[in-house]
Amino acid sequence: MATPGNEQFIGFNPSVDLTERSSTLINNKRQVYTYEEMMSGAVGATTLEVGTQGQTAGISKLAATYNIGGIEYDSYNLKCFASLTPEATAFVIAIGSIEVGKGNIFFISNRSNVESVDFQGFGGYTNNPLNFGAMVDNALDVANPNLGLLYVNQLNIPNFPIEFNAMYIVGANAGNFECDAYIDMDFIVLKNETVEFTIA
Amino acid sequence: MEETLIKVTDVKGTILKPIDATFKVEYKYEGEAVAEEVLSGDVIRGTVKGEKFPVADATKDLESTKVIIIVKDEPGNLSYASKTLTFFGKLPPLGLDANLPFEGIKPETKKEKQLALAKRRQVLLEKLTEKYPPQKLK
Repeated sequence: MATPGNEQFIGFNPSVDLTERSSTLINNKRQVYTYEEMMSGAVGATTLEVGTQGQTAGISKLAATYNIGGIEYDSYNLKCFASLTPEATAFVIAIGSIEVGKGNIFFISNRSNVESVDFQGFGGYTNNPLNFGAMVDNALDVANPNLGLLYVNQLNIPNFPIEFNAMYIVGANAGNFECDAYIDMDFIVLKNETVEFTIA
Repeated sequence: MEETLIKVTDVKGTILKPIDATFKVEYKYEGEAVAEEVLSGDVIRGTVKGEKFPVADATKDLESTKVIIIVKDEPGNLSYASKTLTFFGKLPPLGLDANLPFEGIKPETKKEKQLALAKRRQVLLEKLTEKYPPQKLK
């Protein structure tokens, strides 16, 4: 299907006030989104750099903005693809740092995925949200739930300014495990503030 | 209703959520040698909450009020300095930004940032492997 243009999607020109049945609102009293805004930048290219632990990562600015209690925010997306290998009981993958001009950053969405092989189990690959309980595999190529830790850590580095946010993938389990992690998280920062990503 | 009395921020206004700090609020009256401590406690996640700052004694003339933020973080944690904010003849404003001065290092180069990320990663990994010790591969 071809990507609809903004006006095709909305169905009318958002600059023209229209009323709808059972409503007295006109457009300037509504939040009218374009197609691009509704997709929140999920379409388009994101360039991921290669890091020191073999991970690839990057951030991109999204179209959506937020007004939360009168404070305006821009939104960004963080992506990182990393292999938690060779199998071990504990992993820490440094993704990189997100430095903002000022203000705290808030992660408002997390669509991160964990993929593991299950060739000798039920067959194929398992895909679960990155979290406690996600399926991870081992040297026998059998996937089982991770009963330890699996999360993305946002951390302040000692002696660095609070605006420097170090990002890590953290995984641990009583038994050896391995998996691939696909990080896909959205965060918001104060509108028009600088945002800089440095790959680890 | 509970309000944010003090926001423990850096000079840019970013709330220092992980900071380990306490606070004191003192009122000093005309003619009195020593200020009276009217409020104190821990800073919780970068804020101090409460209903309002205590009412000043109406029978005395208020000379000044002070909000004192005492940072307890050890060197090697967040690097922000303690600070005292003074208000003459009035109570501190609600939602006050503390604007603590930064005393650490601002990383400038990519290499500096990568080294810091790697160093912190190692610390995290060591903590994890204590709780989840390595297993021998079969």
